[in-house]
Order: sequence, then structure tokens, then C-alpha cells
Amino acid sequence: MRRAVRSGWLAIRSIRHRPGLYGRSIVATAIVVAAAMAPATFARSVRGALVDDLLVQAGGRELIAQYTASGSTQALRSDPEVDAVWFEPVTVTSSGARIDAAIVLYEKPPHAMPGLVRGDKPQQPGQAAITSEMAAALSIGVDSLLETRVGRLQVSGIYVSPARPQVTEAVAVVDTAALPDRPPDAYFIGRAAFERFSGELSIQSLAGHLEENPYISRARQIAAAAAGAGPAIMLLMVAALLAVLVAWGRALGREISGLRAAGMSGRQVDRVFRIAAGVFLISGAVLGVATLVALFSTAGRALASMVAQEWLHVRHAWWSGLGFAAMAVAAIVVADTTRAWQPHRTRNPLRAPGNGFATVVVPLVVGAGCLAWVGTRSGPRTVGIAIIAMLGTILVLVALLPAIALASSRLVRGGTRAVIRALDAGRAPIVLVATILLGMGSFAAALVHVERTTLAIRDSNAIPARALVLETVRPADAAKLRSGYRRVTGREAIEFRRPDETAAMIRLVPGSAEQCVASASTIDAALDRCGDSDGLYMASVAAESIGLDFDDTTWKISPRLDDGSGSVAVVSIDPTTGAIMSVDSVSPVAASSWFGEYSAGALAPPGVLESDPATAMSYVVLPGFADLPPDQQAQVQELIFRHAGYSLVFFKEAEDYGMLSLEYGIVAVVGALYVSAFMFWGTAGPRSLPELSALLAITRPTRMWQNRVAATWLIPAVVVPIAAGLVGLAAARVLTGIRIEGAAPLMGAFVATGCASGIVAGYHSLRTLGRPR
Amino acid sequence: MATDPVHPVETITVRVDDLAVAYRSGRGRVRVFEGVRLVAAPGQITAITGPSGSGKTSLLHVIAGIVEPVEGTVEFIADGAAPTARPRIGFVYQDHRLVPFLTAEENVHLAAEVAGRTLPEPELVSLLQHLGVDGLQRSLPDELSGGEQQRVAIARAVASGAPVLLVDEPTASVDREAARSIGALFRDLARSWPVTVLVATHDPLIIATADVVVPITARSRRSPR
Repeated sequence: MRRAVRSGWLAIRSIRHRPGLYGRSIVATAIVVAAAMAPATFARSVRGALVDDLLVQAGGRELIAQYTASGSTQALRSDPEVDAVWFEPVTVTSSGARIDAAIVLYEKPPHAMPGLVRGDKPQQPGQAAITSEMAAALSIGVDSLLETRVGRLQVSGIYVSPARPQVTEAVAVVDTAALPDRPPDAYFIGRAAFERFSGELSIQSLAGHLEENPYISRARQIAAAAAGAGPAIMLLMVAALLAVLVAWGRALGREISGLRAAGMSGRQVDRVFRIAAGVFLISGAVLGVATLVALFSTAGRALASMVAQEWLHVRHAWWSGLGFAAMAVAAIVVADTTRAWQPHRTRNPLRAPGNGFATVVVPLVVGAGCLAWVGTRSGPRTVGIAIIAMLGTILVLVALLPAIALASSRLVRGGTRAVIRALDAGRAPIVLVATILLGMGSFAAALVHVERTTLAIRDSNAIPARALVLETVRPADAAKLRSGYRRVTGREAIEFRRPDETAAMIRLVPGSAEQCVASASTIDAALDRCGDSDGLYMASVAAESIGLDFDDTTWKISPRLDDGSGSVAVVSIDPTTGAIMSVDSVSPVAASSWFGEYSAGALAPPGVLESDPATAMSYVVLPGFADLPPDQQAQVQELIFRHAGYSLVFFKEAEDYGMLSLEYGIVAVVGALYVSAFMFWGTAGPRSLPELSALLAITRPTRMWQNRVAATWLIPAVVVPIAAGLVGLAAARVLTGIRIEGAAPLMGAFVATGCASGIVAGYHSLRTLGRPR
Repeated sequence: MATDPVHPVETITVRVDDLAVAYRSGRGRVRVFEGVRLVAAPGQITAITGPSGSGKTSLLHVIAGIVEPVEGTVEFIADGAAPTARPRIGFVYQDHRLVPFLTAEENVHLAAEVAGRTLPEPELVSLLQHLGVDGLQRSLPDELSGGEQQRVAIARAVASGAPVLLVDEPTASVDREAARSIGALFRDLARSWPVTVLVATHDPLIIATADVVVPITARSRRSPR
């Protein structure tokens, strides 16, 4: 107890003596905490906003997903928080009045029913809530009776459906015996269950069984991005924290040696500075959280507008802060300040190159894998993602090869090598960590860039490159859209009609089949032109398609035919003549990344086929949209808004997700910039300059200035980031097989990162140049 | 004097026999010195002399237990009778190494407290007076001159009650007058406290005050690992 009190007293005295150092440490910690929490908070808020948006779009109900497969049905129906429902078109009569309506049947009372204006949600079998439109049409109110095909229903409440005011419908609880003899059409999932299921959906645990609601698709992507960003952010936090501690330990050399000289053991000295570190870390964390809360509270709307998403309130990612706290505690516990400041005096085994390398690299590689595993722990391909994360980290380390070469006696001899080795001894681990961070940042940035590109813009043989694809456009709207697009841009938009009475669309594989289809105008001609194997596919599919048998079963043949060979042909056929109306070929790209799994480029229209021509949908391809000048893009966006408002959801999905991905990319690069700058400041900064000067003066006295600039600025701060950035790009390319378009802006970011960190390091170097210490 | 809490409770004779020290270098071991013998008695100043790099500081480190010798032994004999375990050792560094955020007085107190001793105020004043830094108790190290810092560092070492005082180049950063004064101080300390003082130095002023002078000859040679 007495020793603890003494340690605390010494810690306080130390803090009082070095307010500047502790102040900087607090600010640095605050920045790290805020930077760590901000993306997660941002993503969580967006995701929460999506759910809110979803609730509104779904008419106030928590409509999340639709399923058609029995396997998932059983799993979901066993969940008490999930409502299984059936959609039934029925004729409703009451007191002689009759209307046609869609009725949503529950087997148990729905969990939530926002939008109720009178009465209550249906609680018992035989009760129903109806829309205000239906109430008006039938001139009925609460407690009125309705006659329907599924039985007599008593009105328990009246609700409004703000998203679809034109829809006349009812929500009823009916006896199980009255329910349709088929699997539920949909599930209404509560928010809590949504969180759980969306996590599962993000790793495609129900892949193959699930037909997704477009909203959940968007939420899923953002959730996956948020989960995937976790590992990178955590590593950034840990690295930044270590950088703070190392820089801090070095700065406190006099204090540490003084306490040791007073007879205190290394453990006792560590205890003093652990207390002090705890003070600045806690203070910094509180300051960081306060800053973040203030920032998001005051700029929430502005941030929301960045993703074109309204949000009602900020959902702070406290778990991120807790994660930081756990990391901070761990770092304080393991921090050995007495050694951190004395790398040249103690026989520290970590100084041995092999040990030091292993000490830094192994935890990073394993940590990256573990964090990736945690981020996607319930997915079937979890192990693969973890391995990719680890491989990515290892590949990024290739950037260190030039440094190893520099230290080689065969390549560099004499005094120059002595200088490099002496410098490396002090800061190699730091540069190593910075390199890994930068490489990982570029790796992540490359992936999100690819994701953004592939999500928003799809290119194929048939669809001109960099087109914007709008799904779920009403045919009438599609015509207006095509006309408008022609008027604004002079280009022809392409419409792919979802199956209806006049046209059919099928998916064919392999890609070679598409070639023969594309060169023919009718199915018959295509069959002639295709090879045996292609023709087999063609004949098989065409025979079914021409028969206008495009129900769910027909649609589901495409996975069976997909042999995984690559391209998928999407053919739109006139079933009456067998003429091929259009052909599209896409290359589905399955990728696993830090951000989870995704499949991009597969142009298969999602959802259940709509056989009702009144509600049939098209999807429209706007070729060259990405290359349009901004003003034309704005005009086209307005066209979309005017003529295909519903498609705007998808359009915004890609746009929002792209923005979000970009955010992560920026966070990754800026985070790496910050950490590396801080590290260079802590290592190549003022304290190591006398040593550096002496070494350089010995070897090249006449070129000391130039050498100093080169050693301080160029090698660690510019060359390493660029090399790491390049290797990160290469790692992303190798591991995902995705062609990385637009690498130039990314490279620009790396160069800017390097230059900026060089400026920071150089500024500190020059500021102290020649100053006696 | 022996009942004074500041003073060591026992006297220690340091006996070094056939000592050799080597360091591991990039391509093998570098032997710093070998065959060093000395006996440092309580109340005496033993000066370890030699050119730079001869291993004076290394010898102090071996005696303090910081560095392990490759050959030879270091014995501590309590009260001139039986060998004992390594006693508490006060180390006065060339660069003082005072805790910068503590005052002179607190530096001295801290050393005593860490050693598990109490240092009443009158004794502290007496000690500081003895060392010629009374009146500077409330000063931080950065507010003291090099010589004053050195004296406070000596006071700190003494206050820990260590019967053995190892002093590394005490006059390296002070002027001649201060060096002479520090030499006299050590002699006075050794006599009046009494402690066993080993000083690594090549300063003639300090050597002149020593009772025993042990020269070390640099004998660096590299041997395979």
C-alpha cells in the first residue's frame, strides 16, 4: 500500500513536471480514440438510419427479408422475435361494400406495428388492423367486421402506411388452420433480431435460401464494411498507442534513470509510469469521446448528408471505445518503459533483428487473422478470410525488402551501412509497424475502391463499360428514362425487362454460350452457331424459356447451370418468336476482403420473379454514366428521381456505399498517416537527432545536411509509404484477383501520405537542427 | 555515529579477485579487462584509474551486480569478519541522474524511503550541510549547478544507508575547484560515516585523495563467440 501511494505520488509529480509531454500524450490519445470511434459510430448511425428508413419504406412495419426456401423457414420460424407472414390477395367485404386488398396474415400477433392511429394491433386470431384507406373505402372503424376468404375478421385498429399510401391492405392474425398451405412469403423481423440476422446475412449463412429484400442488402453491405473495418481500426489504435508509449518512454529517460538511481527496481519504476500512462490514457480517452460526441452531435446532419441518408440520432459505437480501453490497459500492463528508453544499454533480446521482427510481425499477422475471424466469426468462409487477412499482412511486409537490402553488407559497405544500421537499431520496429500500417491501409483502400467501383458501375461485353445499372424500374418509367437519357447524353440506355408476358430473360453459363447467342438473333440461329456443349446449355434453357415457364423454379436453374467457369450470359428472349432481344455478359467476381465477402458484377436480377405484368419490373443500364460530366450526371440523377424513384434506392445504395467505402479508405490512409507521422516524430524526431548528426558527420561530414534530409525525410517517410502502398495494391490484386481500376488516385494518396509525414518529420528535425541539448 | 539512521548499520569490505569482464560484440566477445584484484576497506577511498575504455565503469558495474564477470569473484565482507551477500550499494553516476521532478530534498528522501529507512529532517539537514548543499533543499535538479547536483546525488547515495558507495567519474562535468571540493567530500564521508568508497576516475585531484589506487590497463581483445 505504501509503495502504491509512493508510486502514485511520483506519477503525479512527474505529470506536473512535464505538462507539455503529458498534454501532447492526452491530445494524441484523444485523437486516436476519436479516430477509432468515429468510423464505427458513423457506420452504425448510417446503419441505424437504414433501419429507420426501412421501417418507413416498409409502411411502418419491420419488413426485412423474404424467404422462399423451407430450410431457412424452419430456422426463422423458431425464432420468437420473427413473425412469419403470408401475403394474400383477397376480396374484403363489409356491410355490402367490397374491395380488393392485400392482406398480411400472421400466425401470431406481430411484434410491432408502427403507424397505428386508432385501436390496437391485432392480438388474437380473427383480429385485423386495416389501413386508413381501407377503412375509408369500406366506411368502417374499429370493432367492425370484415368478411374475407380467410375468415371473418374483427378490426382491432387502423394504421397509416406513409410509404405506400395508395396501398389498401390489412394485417390480420388468423388461426393456423386458415393459413395458406405454403411456406411463409416473408418475415417481419424486430430490430434486435434484425441486428442478429443481418450479421448472419452478412456472411451469407443462409446463402442459397435467401431472396433478399433490397434494403437489407444495403444494410448488410454497410454492416459488413463496419465489421470489416474493425480489425484495421483496432490495429491502428494499438499501433498508435504503442507509438505514444514508445515516444513517451524515450522522452522520460531522465526520469526513469533518476528513479533507478534512487534505488527503485525496474518494476517499481514501471509502476510509476503505468499510473501516469493510465492518467493520460484515461484523460485522453475521455477527451476523445467528448470530442467525438460533440462533433457528431453538432455536425450529425452534415455527416448524414454525406451519405444522402437521414438519421434521427447518432448511435455511438461504444464498443469501439471499450475495445480501445481494453487495448490501452493491455498496453500499459505490458509496457516496459525502463527498456523503451534504453535500447542501447540493456541487453534487450528484442533488439536482436530476428527476435524483434518476430515480435512485431507475428502478433500483427496473427492479430490480423484473429480480428478478421472475430469480425466474420459465424460465416462459412471465416477461415478463408482470416487467412487472406494474414496473407495480406505478410505480403505487405515485402515492402521492407529494400530496407533489408540496405542493411546488407553485400550491397552497402562501410560507414554508410554503419549509419543505416545504427538508425535501424533504434527505429526499425517503428518503421516496420508504420510500413505495415501503410500497407494495410493501402490494401484496405484498394479493396474498398474496388468494391465501390464494382457495386456502382458494372461493365461487361454487352453493356458498355462504366454503366450505371438501375434495377427495379417500372417498364413505363424505363421508357421515359431511356428517352430522357438519350436527350441528355445522346446515348441509348438499355432496358432489360424482367420476365413478363412478352419477354423472358435467362441466365446461361458458361460465358462461351453468350458469345454464340450474341452473334445470333434468334434462339434457333444461336443453336446453330453454338458448339455442342454450348448448344446443350442453350437448348436446355431455351426450351424452357420459350415455353413462358418463368416461374421461380425456372429461375432457379441458373445456379445449377453455373459451373463456376466465369462469365454469365443474361439473355432476354421474345418467347413468341424466339428472337434474342438482348444479351448481357458479366463476370461475377467473388472476393473476400477485410470487409467481408461480396460478389460483384453478377448481373442476375435479385428477388422473386414477378409474374404480374402490372408490377413487372425492368432494369435499365445507362451506358457511360460514370464518364459523364458532373452536370450531365446531375441531370440524369434528376431523371432517375423523376421517372424511377424506386430505383433511386438502388442508385443511392451504390452511391452511399461508395461514399462509405471511400470514408473507410480515407480513414485508413489518414490513420496510417497520423500514426506514421507520430512514430517518425517520436523516433527520428528531436531526441535522436544528435545521434543522427554525429553518425552522419563521421561518415560524410561535408554532406551532413543532405544526408540528414535524405535519412530523415526520404527513406522512411516517403520511400516506405510508397513502397508499402504499391505492395498493398499488389497484395489486394493477388489475393482477390480483382482488377484494380483507378490506382492513380490511390497512388496519389500514398505519395501525399509520404510527403505529409515527411514534412511533419522534417519540420521537427529542422526545428531542432543544431540546437544544443 | 553508528546509531544515526543515516549511517550504515554495518561496514563492508569489498574484495575483488582475478576479475575479468567481456562483452558480446557483433563478431565475437570483446574482453575488456582481466586479472583485476583489489580490496576496498571501510573508511577508505579506493580509486580505480585507467584510460578511457579501460573498463573502470565496467568494474563498478560488476561490483554493483549490474554486469556478470566472465572470470573472478567479488566478495563482500561484513564488519571485517565473514563474507556476506551483496549489500545495498549506493551508486553515484557521472551524470548525477537525479529525478528531475523532485526537489533535492525529495530526491534524498526517496532514496532513503526506497531503502526502507527513515530520514528525519534534522539528519537530512545535517547531511546536506555536510555536503555543502544546505539551503538548496527545495530546488529542482535543473536549478542546480553540475557540482551541486553531484553533491545531492552523493547525499542520495549516502541517505540510502548503503555501506558501499560506487562513484563513477564524479568530476567529469565540474570545474577544478568543485572537483577539489568533491574529492575532499569523499574523504570526509569515508572517514566520518564510514562507508567503503570506490571511485572510478582519471582525475588526479580525486586520485590524490584516495587511500588506495587500483590502475586498470585496457586489454581489449576479440575472441570468437
